[in-house]
Parts: sequence; structure tokens; C-alpha cells
Amino acid sequence: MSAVLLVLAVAFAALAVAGVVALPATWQRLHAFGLTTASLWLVALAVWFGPSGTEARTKTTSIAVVATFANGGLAHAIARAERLRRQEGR
Amino acid sequence: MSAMHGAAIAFLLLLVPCGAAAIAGGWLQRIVGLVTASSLVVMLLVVLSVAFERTAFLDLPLALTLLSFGAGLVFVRFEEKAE
Repeated sequence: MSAVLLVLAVAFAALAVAGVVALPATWQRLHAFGLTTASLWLVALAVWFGPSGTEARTKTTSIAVVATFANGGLAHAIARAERLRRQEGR
Repeated sequence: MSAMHGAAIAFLLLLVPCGAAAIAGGWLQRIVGLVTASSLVVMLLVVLSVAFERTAFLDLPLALTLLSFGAGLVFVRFEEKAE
């Protein structure tokens, strides 16, 4: 179970990187960046279903929660900055 | 080699295209490449800590998550105001 979740996490991360590198529009790149959050949650699930102890499980879940808010905030800030610069014609 | 070690190697290899995106292209592509690379490094550190059974080191990716959030905001703010 843990190995399957890890493979899924790597696949999501590969999709995210491919999107960030190859997609043309800003919103598309930011959505691809959002896939890294899903990948991190899959890693957290893999740790939960793995042989690790309680400390590892709680810490990886904390990291996933914090990263969810951090990545969302960053994507919001980047989209806002891009919109402002486009409005100013820069 | 366990699945965790394999995942760590995969995350490490995925950093290469992110680095390329952070070096070349417009300001937006660079910042998105940087923050994506930060997320990948967080996952890499989590997987390595669990793979080597050093759970105390899991504080490191947590700190990196918080610090990369602040760093990304600073970069975005700087680019927003740049001429």
C-alpha cells in the first residue's frame, strides 16, 4: 500500500514539474504547481500506511497541512502579481 | 533499496527540470520553478527522513515549508514592484 502511494506521489510530482516547465499560460502553470500539494499528501499517506511510528505520522501530516496553506498562498500571490503587472502594461 | 529510497531518487531527478525553469524564461516561470523545486525538496527530505528512520529530522522539511513560503512571498513582492 505504502509503495503504491509513493509511486502515485512521484507520478503527481512528475506531472506537476512537466506542467510548470511546459504549459504556456500562467494559470495553467499555477494549477500544475498545485499538484505538488497533492503529491505531498500522498507522501503523508504513504508514511501513515508504512511501518513508521506515531512521531513520523504526525509530523508528516503537519508538514502536509502547512504546505497546503503555504502553496495556496504562494499561488494566490503569484497570480495577483501577474495580474497587477498585466494591468499596468509591464 | 526500499520504495522510499526509490521515491527519493525520483524526487531528486525531478529537481533538474525545475532548476532549468528557474534559470531560464520570464519572471513568472522562474518563480513558479523555484516554489515547485521547494515543494519537491520538502517531499525529498520527508522521504529521506522516513527511509533512514531519523524522524527527528522531519522538523527540517517543516521549517523549509515555512521559510520557502516567506521567501516566495518576498520574491513575488519584489517582482511586483520591479520596473
